[in-house]
Amino acid sequence: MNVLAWIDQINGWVWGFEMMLVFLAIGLYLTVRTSFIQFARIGVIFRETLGAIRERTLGGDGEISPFQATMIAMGATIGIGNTVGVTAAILAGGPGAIFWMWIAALVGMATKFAEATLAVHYRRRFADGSVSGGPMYYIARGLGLPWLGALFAVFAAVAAFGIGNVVQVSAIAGAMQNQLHITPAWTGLFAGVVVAVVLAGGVRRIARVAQTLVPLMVLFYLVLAVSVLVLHASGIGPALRSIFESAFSLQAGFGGAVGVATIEMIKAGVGRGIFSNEAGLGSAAIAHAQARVDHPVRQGFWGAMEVFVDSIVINTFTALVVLSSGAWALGGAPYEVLGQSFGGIVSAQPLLALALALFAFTTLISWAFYGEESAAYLFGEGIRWPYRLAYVVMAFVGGLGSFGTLIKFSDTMNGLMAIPNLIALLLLGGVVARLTRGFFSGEPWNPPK
Amino acid sequence: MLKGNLTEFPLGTLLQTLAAAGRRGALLLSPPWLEGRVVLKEGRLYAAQAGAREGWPALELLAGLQRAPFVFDDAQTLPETPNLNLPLETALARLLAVSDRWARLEHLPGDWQVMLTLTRKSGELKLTPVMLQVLGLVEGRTVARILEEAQASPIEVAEALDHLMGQGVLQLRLHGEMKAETLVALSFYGRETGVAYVDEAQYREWRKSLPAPFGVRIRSPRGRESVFEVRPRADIPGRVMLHDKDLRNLRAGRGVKLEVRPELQP
Repeated sequence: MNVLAWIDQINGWVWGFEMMLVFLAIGLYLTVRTSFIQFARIGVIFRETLGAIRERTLGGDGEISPFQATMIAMGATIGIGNTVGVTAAILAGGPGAIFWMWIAALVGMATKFAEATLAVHYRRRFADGSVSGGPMYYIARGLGLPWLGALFAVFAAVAAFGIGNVVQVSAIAGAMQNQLHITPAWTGLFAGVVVAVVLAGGVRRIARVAQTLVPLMVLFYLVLAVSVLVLHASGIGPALRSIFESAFSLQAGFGGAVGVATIEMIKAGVGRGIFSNEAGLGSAAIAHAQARVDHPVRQGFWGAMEVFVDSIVINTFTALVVLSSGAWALGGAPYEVLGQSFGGIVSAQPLLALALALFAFTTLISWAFYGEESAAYLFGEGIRWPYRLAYVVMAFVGGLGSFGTLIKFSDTMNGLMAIPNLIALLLLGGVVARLTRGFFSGEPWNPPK
Repeated sequence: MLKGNLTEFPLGTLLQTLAAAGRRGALLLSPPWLEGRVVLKEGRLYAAQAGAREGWPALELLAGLQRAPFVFDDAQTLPETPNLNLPLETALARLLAVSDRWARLEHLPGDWQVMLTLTRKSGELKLTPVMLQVLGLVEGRTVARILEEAQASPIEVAEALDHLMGQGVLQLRLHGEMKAETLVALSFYGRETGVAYVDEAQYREWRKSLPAPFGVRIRSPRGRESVFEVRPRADIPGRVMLHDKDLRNLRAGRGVKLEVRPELQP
């Protein structure tokens, strides 16, 4: 068996159905350990996040506000998965897949709540008040397994070049070439220069870019989606009905037994509900660790909210556009079906391309930070500039050609990040529970020494 | 010209550095309530003045300053006759001993502009002659003036004031209400209502100006107000942390700017 076949096999395993079940099981475990926080404290989650967006940062260590940290995390998660990915889930599993996506996302809220909480709790503080955190730190400091933390950091630092860089630049270059006839080399050069300027400013500049760009692009996409939904207003009711009706109906697959298609539907929906928001992969925790907060649980709320916005709000809008337009019923490639669904309004296609390019750009920036933090964990502060330089060069090169093997390999690394992270979430569930209880008892936070 | 504040350079260290460098001139100290001057000449502490005090008592008084801007001016005209004229090592050893005594005071505020008043506390208390002297000076005078005007040495007067405050015989006299701070509301959860948490630094600042126990009166933008027990908490500068229910009772929410005024509890 050659290397590519090995990579394909590992990819099939780390992104497969069995792994989805592990994600779900750990999400459910954390839901129980946190006393069903995403349901029982939903009002608090909203008040502490969306209700506090305009507030200044709290005191304490850390360099950016909780909102900025969340925008960096959302910059990475919101992307192709929320648009093309959701369309693919509908094509694979039918409208009912969306219901299962919601269920998985609700479970994922507890997972990301735990990740963000642990990231702040176990982060490392430096003398200048700056911090560094993420799964590598909570694995090393919380579990006492530095080798496993280092393994996570290796996976993240390498994955950043593929999933975070080449894949995104390719997506931007593709969109620019198709809609605006700009050659990929120019797009690559532009992406490289902009990334270099942003990364040079460190986490503060990344945060400033993310806090401006991410809400704008989300708003832009939602306005675009609402515009299409207005045109298909009569289709919204039936679309919602079809989601609920087909979620529980036993369907027969093509030539298969009754139930096979139902399983495919659940797989498609749950897969989207898990992977579009990255809950369980641990990547977002690296951003959440940077927040200036008085208590880790307060940042945990932002983690839960991040999943809510990503997988409940944005994905639902995409699903409603695709379902209400009826384009999905004709079948086809996900990107084409998505384009046809948005095709009802004048210049929707170029606007959609612009939205996708923005999604990809913010992912590019956020993953640069994840990769850099992971590399710094492994090799120390001196690696930051070489890593940034390599990332910028890759952003330029990424637009020029196809890097199939690199992308597959980075997919593997991205999927493998989940293993040490999920082990940590499972074993540190008690710490999350204790911190949550402490917060809701009004106790102050005592960071570990 | 050397400038700074005693919070960064304590007086003893400052004088030692200046004298060791052979500097000649006057160290001028200017807290808002006192004018102080220490003259250095030929490696000796030549003269000192603090308000009405001169010589060693002046230096003793200046040793009690926790914060004060200072300037070392080597162009000043120096006095012809010394009122101190102590060799450096002797002066510094005595200064260190006095500074230790000042550091042990627990109740005397660092701000000597405040006035003290007698409480209505009854009971027996053994008074020393210095305490009697101090009690005779308290009404209508600031702490700084008492320290300057009493016949006993400044450190003895300060110790007497501290002891009397500790025994509850004397307390701070507040000039009307304390200044209100505008703090942003932050919520906490749990069973404990009626408590307001403020940042540790804010609490310490209030604590210096107010004798315990004190609370805070919080007023919301909608005009609702309530009194809370106040406690310090780390890492919440510019914030006041209230229980979610208390916030709702004030018709306020997280992020709302509240007027927070410390006040003595009855």
